[in-house]
Amino acid sequence: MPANPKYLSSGPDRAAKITAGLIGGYLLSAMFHYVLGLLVENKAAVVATSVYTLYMLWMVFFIIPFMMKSGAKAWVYYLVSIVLLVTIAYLIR
Amino acid sequence: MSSESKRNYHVFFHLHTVSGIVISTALFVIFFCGAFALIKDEITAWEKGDKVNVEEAIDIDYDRAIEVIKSEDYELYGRDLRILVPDAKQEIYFQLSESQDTIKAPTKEDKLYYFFIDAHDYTWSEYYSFYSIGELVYRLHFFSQIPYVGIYIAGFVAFFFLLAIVSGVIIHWKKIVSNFYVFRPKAKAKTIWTDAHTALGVIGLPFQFVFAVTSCFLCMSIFVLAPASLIYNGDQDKLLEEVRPMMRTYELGQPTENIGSLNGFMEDVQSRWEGFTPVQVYIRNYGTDNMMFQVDGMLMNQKKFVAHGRAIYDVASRELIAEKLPDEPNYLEGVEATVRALHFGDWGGYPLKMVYFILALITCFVIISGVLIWLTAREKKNISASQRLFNRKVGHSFIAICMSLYPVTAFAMIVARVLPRSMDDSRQSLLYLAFFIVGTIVTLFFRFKRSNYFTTKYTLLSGAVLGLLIPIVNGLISGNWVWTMIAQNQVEIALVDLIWIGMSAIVLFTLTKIKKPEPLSPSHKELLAQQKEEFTAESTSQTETEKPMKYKIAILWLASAIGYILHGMYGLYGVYYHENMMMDDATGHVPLSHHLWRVGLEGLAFLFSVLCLEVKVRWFYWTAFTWAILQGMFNVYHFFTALMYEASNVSEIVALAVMVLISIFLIKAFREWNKELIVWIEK
Repeated sequence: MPANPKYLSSGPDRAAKITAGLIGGYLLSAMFHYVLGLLVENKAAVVATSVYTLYMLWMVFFIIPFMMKSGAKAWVYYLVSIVLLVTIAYLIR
Repeated sequence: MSSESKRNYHVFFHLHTVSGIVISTALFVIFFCGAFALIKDEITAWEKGDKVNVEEAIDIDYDRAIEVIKSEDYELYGRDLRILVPDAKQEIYFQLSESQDTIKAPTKEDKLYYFFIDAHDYTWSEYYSFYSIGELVYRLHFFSQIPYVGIYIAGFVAFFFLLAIVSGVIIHWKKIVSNFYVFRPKAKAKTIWTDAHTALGVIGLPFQFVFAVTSCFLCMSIFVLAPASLIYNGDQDKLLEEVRPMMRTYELGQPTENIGSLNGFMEDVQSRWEGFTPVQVYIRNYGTDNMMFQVDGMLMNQKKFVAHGRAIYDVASRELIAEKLPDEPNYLEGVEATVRALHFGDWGGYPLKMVYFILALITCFVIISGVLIWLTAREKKNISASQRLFNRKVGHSFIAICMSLYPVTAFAMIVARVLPRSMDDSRQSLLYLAFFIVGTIVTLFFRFKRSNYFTTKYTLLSGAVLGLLIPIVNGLISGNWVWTMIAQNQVEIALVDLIWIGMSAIVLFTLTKIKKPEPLSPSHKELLAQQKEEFTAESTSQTETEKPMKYKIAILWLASAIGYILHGMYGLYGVYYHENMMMDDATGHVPLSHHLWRVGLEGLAFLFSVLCLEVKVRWFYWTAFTWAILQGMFNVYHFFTALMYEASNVSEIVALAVMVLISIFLIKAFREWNKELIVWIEK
């Protein structure tokens, strides 16, 4: 039974969700590990752990936009979060 | 179910379907070839036919190997030597780093080398002097045959495989236990596929999850490296030293003529740690007074999953200067060791590899059953004829590619075994011919038979027969019959034959069970007729007078031809900025390949542009359409490689992006033209 299309977005909205998940999701996951690496004493452990957690977190961030109603909203949330993490990184380093 | 969770269910269902279908073919190839990649070194040993004696091979005479390397005219001073201890291939892999002495070493030596030294008679050979079918299949399992981008394609397939796994678990979560026990073999086709897909999917879940995550890292480690080097403020050396201590390099000492023996250290390590199996050896700072001998390896006991140890000796004083005990837990080194052990399945001997092999083939079955669910769910009356034709086309192509892989691999194995050693020089080309060209022909044949039952039956039958021929051919050629190999305890060689015999036995048993299904209704012909009606209705209902698509296509072909010519002019661009104009190996003659590229890209684009105005036959449409797709894929490939390797060449990248856009429009226009042609023919 194919999924009911009334629940699915289409066109630019879908494109926004995919790009938000793929590009925004990666940047968010990478920035998260970056800030964590700056905060934690044992930097090497963060890097070693990111070998698997980076991709898992990226996958979580890839899925989240699809659960939202609008792709544009997903991009806004992601951009705000990325800017927030960049600011934190800038302040603590 | 609340409306929100109902919506999420459908969203995840769609994510699972789309991600699964998009990667299905690539993922099948990866898992099928990956299964054989587990035993690639055994396949090499089997192909060469020499008796395997790994114990003797591991006992390396390092001084003798160094003598051989020196006699091959390699200057070793200032280099780090990386040595991989021989496996079933019985060759010692050597990699020479660039010389670290930037002042003393002439530029000629500032180069990386890698080659093999035979583990028994210590002869030098080039890395690819013997191209094994095992190597071909192993390389195909991460698409290494596609230069530069192949491994990233494999990486993104792994990423979307992870998506398919996660979304699959979410949609099955509520019934994951009860559905596992549901099996209705007497029900209709779609039910059987659904039951098999969920049950086998759940059995293979941990295995598949491990492969999705580890493959992401192994193919796309660059994504981890980027934040990691940011954390270390761009200090790559410090990053490597802390996170991957085995890679640590040392400042070069003073040159010395007096180089001590490299033998004896390995025996010392093995007497320290019982059951220690060396994996790789580094000889650091060769020819200096702080030359080091570093051993990395695993303790193969049942106590710990990854018990990796390291010992570093100072060659001059013969003293142990640093060690990492195998029993000592170390998270940092443990992570990567675990990732690799889990992916390569080398932590439990051959029984474990066989479990991996079977799970990989089970995953192949999960992929096929997934696609078959997708197909049968779309054989419905309310779906338009053109859409149904398209879905069937996807199904026929998928089944043809995936199922052909089995007999084609068996065939290529036979070719690999039959080729004599005197033809080692052309071995790679001949194996490519036997695997890729024969594979393409076989795939096209089954694709256009348009019957998944026919394809499945005859690929399985031919694969099983060819698979049984493999041990026979091997025995006839080398006398390495399975029973003699087992009697002589040559497990490595016997294993390859046994796997093929085992697969054939299971497949032949399966063949006795498969039944011919009812032919699809409506048939292909009926659907074609319905499609024509559909398109005719569509074109008569259009009120505006569209120009025939052929003009649009002609202009697009012309645009791509102009694009290629503009691109050709980039070669001359550097002249303005005093770039060296001559290619390194230019002889004054234009090589034939250059003409072929020109004819292929510019010539064909011009030709198709003119022809599509006049020619209105189906074979021309399909030829031009196929070329448009190939050209489109080439343009996308070119765009990404340019982005990766010459990102500063902004104007070229913009031009290449425009070419990609033209290709997309062209392919879209072709689909529209197809409708016109279908309506027009026999009007």
